[in-house]
Amino acid sequence: MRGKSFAAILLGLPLAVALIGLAALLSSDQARHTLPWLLVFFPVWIGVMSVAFLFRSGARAWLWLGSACVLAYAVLYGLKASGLVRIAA
Amino acid sequence: MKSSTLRSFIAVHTWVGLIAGFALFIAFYAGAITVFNKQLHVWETHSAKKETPQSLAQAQPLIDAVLAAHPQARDGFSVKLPSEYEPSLLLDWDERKPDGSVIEHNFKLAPDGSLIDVKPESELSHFLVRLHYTAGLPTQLGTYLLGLVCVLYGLALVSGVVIYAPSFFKDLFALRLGKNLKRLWQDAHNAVGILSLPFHIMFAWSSAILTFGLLLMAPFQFLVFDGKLLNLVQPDIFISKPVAAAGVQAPLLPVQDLLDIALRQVPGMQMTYLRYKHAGDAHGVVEVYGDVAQRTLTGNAAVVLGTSDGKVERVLAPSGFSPGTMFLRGLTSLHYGDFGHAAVLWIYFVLGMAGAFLFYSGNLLWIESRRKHRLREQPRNTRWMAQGTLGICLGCVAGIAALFLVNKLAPAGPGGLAVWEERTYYAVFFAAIVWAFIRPPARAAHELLMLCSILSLLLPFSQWYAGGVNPLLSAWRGETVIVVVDLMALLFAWIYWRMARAVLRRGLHGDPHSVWSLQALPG
Repeated sequence: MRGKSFAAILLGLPLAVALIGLAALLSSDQARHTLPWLLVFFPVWIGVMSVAFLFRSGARAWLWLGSACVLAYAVLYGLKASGLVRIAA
Repeated sequence: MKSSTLRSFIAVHTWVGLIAGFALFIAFYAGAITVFNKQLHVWETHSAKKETPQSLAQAQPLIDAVLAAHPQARDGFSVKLPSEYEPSLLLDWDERKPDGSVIEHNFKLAPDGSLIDVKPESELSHFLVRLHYTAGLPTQLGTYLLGLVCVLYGLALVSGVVIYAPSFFKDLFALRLGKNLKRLWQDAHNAVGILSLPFHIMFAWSSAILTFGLLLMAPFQFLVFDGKLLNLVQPDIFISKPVAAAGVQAPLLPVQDLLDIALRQVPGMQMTYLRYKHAGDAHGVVEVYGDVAQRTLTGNAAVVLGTSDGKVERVLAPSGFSPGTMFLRGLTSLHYGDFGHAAVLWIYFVLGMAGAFLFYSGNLLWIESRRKHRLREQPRNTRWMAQGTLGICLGCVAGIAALFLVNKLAPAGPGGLAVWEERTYYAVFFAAIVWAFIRPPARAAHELLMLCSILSLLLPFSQWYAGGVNPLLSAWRGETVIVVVDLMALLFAWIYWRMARAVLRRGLHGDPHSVWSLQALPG
């Protein structure tokens, strides 16, 4: 239980930020769609934290959410560094 | 779902509920009353009656008088236009002293044209709002803390639904009245929770955005948008960009002209207030805010004008909102319930009170499910929980009841009443907590509930004493605000009295194996 709780607390926020960030950056019109995406951050964050408690053990929660986090940030920074996605402002 | 997973969610629900429950109770109880904030602003005044609003023609003379007396006010001030609930035309200016402190001024013109700095007669309605979003803690700390509470609240909602889902259809309308008290409380907790779930989801979500929404933008600013996020969303969130003064004098266009221009931009707008920035400077702007009656969730509109030339800088009306603005304003409108009239406000009041009940009953359930049926001594932690719940929840209830009484009974002096009101609330609140911990739980519950009941019962009489008009005559004259507050006070007095009696009955005749028992155990 403690492992799952820490996974929820420590990995929930960065993973939800990366998911919403990707969605906002990849949207067709960043200026129009960024704020709506930011506004759905809260339910997504709560959702990701809740998912942590679905795993069989704390170790599995850390493994899956941790990998998801690494993957999401790799894609995010990869897209930005390669110039495939640019920040509109 | 596997039983181990279910157990995880039960643990999550228990712990986030216990941590967040107290703050949520205060936020919901005060928040439900705050729904009628505008009406209470009328109630809290000495006469407690609506007055004829001042004329708009006073606006320009008021601005000129303030700027002549306090030239430094030109950097930023607001003009609140008179309304049904606040008859005075007020100029609101926060004076920043060199030592960093802020003095809030509310200027108005006396009938003879002289400038007066009005101190609010009462802070009752403002205090309730602050209590709602800070739970009574210092403003900045309380706001952020309640932001965190919203996160726990969100988790409690998800885990609560997960736990409840398997028996959804079987239990939905079940309310098993009977010997099993825990079953009854559990059914009531479930029914209120599940039937008002959409309302709770909306509140967890919108409250998180209102309390620490700007703070939550920080990780995006740095991790995703490389520091450029604010440029991207600034026009969606704020009405106008910050401008620097040009340093060139330019005479002000009269208020009436500015209002006419704004009205041409957004026909039918009911203008509520104006926010001036750098008034009298060539770069000066004024934001004219108002509401439009249209069939959209939010009716907020704003027009940004140059203060000297009346040039239209920006028009923001619901029909032209960007998706982001619509979403943000929509969520805030849902939170405040300002999209509807009396029916919506009463629904919000009832659902808000039901929410307060949800958190109170949650704590009682925790105690009930840890009851030891054979032990002579109940565990100490359930006793503390019982006392904490009684002290904080009933302390808040009694404190608010006392706050209403003091508004009518304390000597009204300039600014004096506000201090009385705040101190009374905190005194009653903390005294109730102390009382809850020095008495046996059942005694404390009975006595605190009786206190809540008596304080509520006294309200119509103190209104009668202060206003000199008996309640029946008030009703005859159609003084709705006074009559409705009186009736609600009587209703709550009755509810608390019934609860007080029930607690005492359980203490004397119920199962002796409980923190709520007053009976000595045999042998």
